[in-house]
Amino acid sequence: MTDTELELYALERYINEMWQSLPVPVAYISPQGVILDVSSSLQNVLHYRREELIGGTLVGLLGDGEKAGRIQDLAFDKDRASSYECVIRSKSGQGIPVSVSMLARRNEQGGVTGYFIALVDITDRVTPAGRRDSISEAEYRATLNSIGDGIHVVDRDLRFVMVNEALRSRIQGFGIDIDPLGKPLRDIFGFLPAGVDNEYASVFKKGELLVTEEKVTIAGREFISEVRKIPIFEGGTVKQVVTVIHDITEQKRNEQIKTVLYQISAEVNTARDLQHSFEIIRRRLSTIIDTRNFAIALRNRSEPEVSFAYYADEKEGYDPPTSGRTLTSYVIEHNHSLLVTENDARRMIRSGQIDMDEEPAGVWLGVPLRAKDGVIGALVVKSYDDPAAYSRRDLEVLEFVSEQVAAAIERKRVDEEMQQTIERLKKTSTGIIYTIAKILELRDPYTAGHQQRVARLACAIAREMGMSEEEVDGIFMAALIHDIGKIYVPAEILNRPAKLSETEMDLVKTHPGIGYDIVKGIDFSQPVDRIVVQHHERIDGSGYPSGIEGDAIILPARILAVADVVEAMASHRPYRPAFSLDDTLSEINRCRDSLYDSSVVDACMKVFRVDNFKFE
Amino acid sequence: MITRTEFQEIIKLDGQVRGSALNTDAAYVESQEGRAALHRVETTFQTMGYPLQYTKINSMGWYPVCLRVLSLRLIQDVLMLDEAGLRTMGDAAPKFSFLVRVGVNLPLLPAAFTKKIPGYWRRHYRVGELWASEMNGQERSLRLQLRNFRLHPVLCRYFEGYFGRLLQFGFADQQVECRETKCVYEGDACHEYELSWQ
Repeated sequence: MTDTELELYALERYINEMWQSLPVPVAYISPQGVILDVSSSLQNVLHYRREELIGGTLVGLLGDGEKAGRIQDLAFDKDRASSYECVIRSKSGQGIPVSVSMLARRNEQGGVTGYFIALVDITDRVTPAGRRDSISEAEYRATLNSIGDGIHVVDRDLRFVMVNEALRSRIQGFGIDIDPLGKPLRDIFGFLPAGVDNEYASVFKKGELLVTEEKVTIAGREFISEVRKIPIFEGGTVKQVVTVIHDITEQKRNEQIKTVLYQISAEVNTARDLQHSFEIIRRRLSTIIDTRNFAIALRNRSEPEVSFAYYADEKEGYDPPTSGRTLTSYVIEHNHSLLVTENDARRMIRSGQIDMDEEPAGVWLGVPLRAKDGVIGALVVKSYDDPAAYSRRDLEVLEFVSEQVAAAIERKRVDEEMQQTIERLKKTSTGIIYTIAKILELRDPYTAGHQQRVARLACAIAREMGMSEEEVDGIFMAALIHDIGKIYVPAEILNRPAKLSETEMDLVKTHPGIGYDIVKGIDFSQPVDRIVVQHHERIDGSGYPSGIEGDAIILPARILAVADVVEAMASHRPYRPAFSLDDTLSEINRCRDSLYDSSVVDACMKVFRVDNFKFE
Repeated sequence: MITRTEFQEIIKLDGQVRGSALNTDAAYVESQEGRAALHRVETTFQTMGYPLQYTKINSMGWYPVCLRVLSLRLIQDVLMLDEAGLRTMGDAAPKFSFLVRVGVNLPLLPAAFTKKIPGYWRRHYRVGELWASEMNGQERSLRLQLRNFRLHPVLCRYFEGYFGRLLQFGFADQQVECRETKCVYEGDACHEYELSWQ
């Protein structure tokens, strides 16, 4: 970064920190009256988030265009800090009397580029003890009743002094049909947590605003509210407390749904198999939906009509029906979601839309699993004991989840098909290699089965050395065809029952290179061609065809070299009898580090001596 | 959900972006769903092998533009943003941007906006060029063209919100609408945004 950029960065941090630490609520507005920045203290006073205020207008903040205009005019005309008194509204609608001071910010040419406004809370000044405020009791009540949040006022004995309309209708909704005025808080709100009384005691004692989040369960339903307890002073002491109850149940539930759906999306993508995916989905969903009875049904192309890839049911031994016109098959056939109560299900039976042998559940919710080729099944939840367990929103949540389920099933199917194709190809290529090896051995009956035996031994050594199964596969392939280059060596030389001349040996020595040329074009996942060409190379460089040495020879080729020599020595040849196993192993052990890799020799010894390897 | 393949494709994008753009992303996520959501975005970056910590981003520094695209894509996943959600995020971005609030003397009325917008773009991106191709005071509309800018479709809706808000800063009492009228992903030569106000 350049110095200028660093300076700008430092400046930004400085300005941001300054804005956030200003004790006085301050805003910066454009000449057009658009709010461009706000201090943290302003956000706290008004209970708005930063981005809710920025981009808004001064008129919106002050709630009076004429006043806002006058304030701007004052600042513009006098070019110095000017002030004006008015009432601003917090997010909850609470009016706060403030003194607004404004200062114009000008550029070098003198043009106004914006205004700083500072707001000072003058509640104490305009509502002194004994003179509650200038608005009438009727206006006061009308204001409180116009607010959607539940509001009540309690005195020091925690008896209701005032309850607004929103809270009254909510109380009646809870089945409490008595006038709360004058009644103790606990008589009406017996469900409040025990700590609430202490909270009121604290507000009365300290005279400070208290904001809490309260979770209560009423008539079996859970409600979450943001509760503000605001002290009202009279004669220097807190006389009453205003409580504003803002219901955030929906907001919290939405947040929870979002979190769960994100978790499902993320985890299903990485699940190791379908069953695991379904378990994750059921477990995650259970935090927002009743999934005690949960099933994933898949449509079959033949009988039975559906099968259940996953299900869980409260009824012991429950076996979901796989044929017939059930609710599940209805969802699959009609490709639309269904939320039905017990009565709905009975109506559907009577009208012939479905047949059911079993008693309908209290409520049943099913959504189709849609893949690109059509509906592949259904995702179902049901409740036996709570007819109100599911709502339309649960249906929407389940529809989203059904996309994840369908995608997971599709992925699994594609994976399986791919795996089958790979297996088929593997079998085909291994078969071809076996065939090539057989053809070669038909020409050279003395080495019949040599390559298969070498392959078995080489694999045993490789496993002993801790190589991966993929590497072992490569060694197996290479060993099966390692002598394929001999196809170019005349059969009478290969089959002659006598020692070969030097010229004939030179011809035989071309076989690794020819083998390399034959297999190099085949796309093996392992370096089969290099293993084939290097299997007669030796550690000291005395091998052929290139005479490379040491680590220049790849490990699989060093393994194949040992396996090839051991098998050859242990077998009968036209020009000599077979060596005993002891003599064979002594010979390769004698040549460790000179001809053969000593770690390979050690592994080979262990394969025979400890694992008791035998050529079949 | 972003796949590893898409992630790897995005990493290949050329160009640079000012760190402030990434910081506005972080501020938006935190304001909407808190620090935990932002942590989820950072975790996904980490999982994909390209760790990014927003708190270490210097708003005045220049960063690979792929980080901006990845940031938006991962936020789209974490906050489950549809097209309207991306537009809302773009709309909120200028409110969090220090450069916008202080550095470039916005807000501007449309005439000044058209003059300043190319320089404004260059302060934020070292890829593509933004300019006002048409300004119609009578019709109360202007067109912005974004050329040589083919990064990712996620930016199309985001910029609708973003450009709209930039101009909206200039108006206290008139609603600005912004919509993309041309798009390179629809076969057009450049992106074009029409901004109109009443």
